Amino acid sequence: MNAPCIAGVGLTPFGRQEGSDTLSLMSRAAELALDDAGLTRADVDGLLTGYSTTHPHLMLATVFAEFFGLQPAYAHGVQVGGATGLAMVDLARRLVQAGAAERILVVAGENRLTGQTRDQTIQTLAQVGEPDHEVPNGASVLAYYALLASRYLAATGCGERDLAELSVLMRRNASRYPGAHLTKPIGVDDVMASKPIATPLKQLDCCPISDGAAAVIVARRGSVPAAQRGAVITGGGQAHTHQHLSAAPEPVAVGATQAVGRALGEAERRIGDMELLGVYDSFTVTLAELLEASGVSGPGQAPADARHGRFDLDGELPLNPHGGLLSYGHAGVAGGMSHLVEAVRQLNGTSPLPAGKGPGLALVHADGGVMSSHVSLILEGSS
Amino acid sequence: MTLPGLDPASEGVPPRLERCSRCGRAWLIQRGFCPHCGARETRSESVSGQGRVEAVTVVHRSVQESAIGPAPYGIALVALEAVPGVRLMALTPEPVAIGDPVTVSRHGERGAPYLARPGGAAGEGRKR
Repeated sequence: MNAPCIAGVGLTPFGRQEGSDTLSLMSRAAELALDDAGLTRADVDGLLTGYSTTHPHLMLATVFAEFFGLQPAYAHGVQVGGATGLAMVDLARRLVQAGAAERILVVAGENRLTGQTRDQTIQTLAQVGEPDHEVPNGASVLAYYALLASRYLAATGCGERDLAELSVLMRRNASRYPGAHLTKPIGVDDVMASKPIATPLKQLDCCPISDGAAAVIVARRGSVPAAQRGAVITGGGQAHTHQHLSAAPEPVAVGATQAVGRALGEAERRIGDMELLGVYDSFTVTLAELLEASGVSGPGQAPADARHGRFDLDGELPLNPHGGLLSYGHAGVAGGMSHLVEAVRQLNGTSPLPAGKGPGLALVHADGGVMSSHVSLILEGSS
Repeated sequence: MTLPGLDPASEGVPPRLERCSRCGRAWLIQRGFCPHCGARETRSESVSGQGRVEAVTVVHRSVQESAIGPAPYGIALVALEAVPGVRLMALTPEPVAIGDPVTVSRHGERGAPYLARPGGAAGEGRKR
């Protein structure tokens, strides 16, 4: 099989990591991934990094390579917002397939919680908006997703209590997952009673801001020992439909439909074949839109599917067993990689919270911006 | 960040779009060429701000004051009637709901802040 494999994964705890910074967090995740793969620094011949809002730099990949002790033959950064992590892994597998490198370290992390104020984070994120026509209204990423949520509710007939189901499910998973940022179990009433952020979104519809890091090693299967040939990447697809909400297509999440379709096409699979999902969930509405646009749930049905247990750990199609961004936490690019790390663990049988049926086929999907950039990957167990 | 304040009672001016002189399509963000057909012949034009509310939120948590004051303040996404496919994000001094007819006015030199007020025709629905 020509499909590159994921030879190792690393994920730090998310949440408050006092005294950490971008490079220390990235280093920790990279160490974990190398240990998991049974590889050393000298084995890494390619490096891809994301961006860090607490360590903005023109050359983050090179800064990290020097700091961590790598001299890769290929290295650079990648930026597509929340989709960056999966875009890097998609690129890494294409580089491996093209013969540009054999063992590529993909790593991201930042101290987004302790390294800057909450207001600074929100202000940075607001810049995904249009500077002349959107931002000067007083809009933020919270407002963009709130607008999206109001349309979702109006179009589907769902209510705020329906969206809350997705937050409740993510918290239930995180409450049992080591390293999760938010672990106190919640119910729909707790979500409804949480303080308003931007209607219809309340605090518990929104992911937290976390410190944390994640890393994976994408490798040519023949370049790592047989025991380290973990899950393989059999398909990948992207779609980049717009940047700003005021220029979004109709339907707004059509990019997810396109990206998932391209990934499934390459993997020669159908959406109904999937046995595990890792889907980006910056807000409850993000998760609902992506589950429906990808064809996993019917229009307006994602919350009901969650309520009826379809996405539970022992359900038909387990979703984000680590608790997703909504509860494991969101540390920027690393947050978007956490779903992939967990999917690989599930497929390899190494997750601390194994899904009931031992999944062999997974879809991971992330979006950046406001449903702007989409990346999907299909992962299959190697056995 | 400090945003320019504005008098919520001010009239503002109509929204301004850029239009292609060759294929005739119009868009919001000024760029000096047509993103559809690539023509370099474009013109800036004012259009009617009449439209319909597509999405709406009341922002309760904000790091900055809006042009019409601190949170809570309303923001709507408005689909312009005259130019299909063009949406404007606008502050809403009065409550509006999805589907409501509104009129959008421009209050910034380059664009935002925009205000969306209830009523499909200019002046209509302005209860002061």
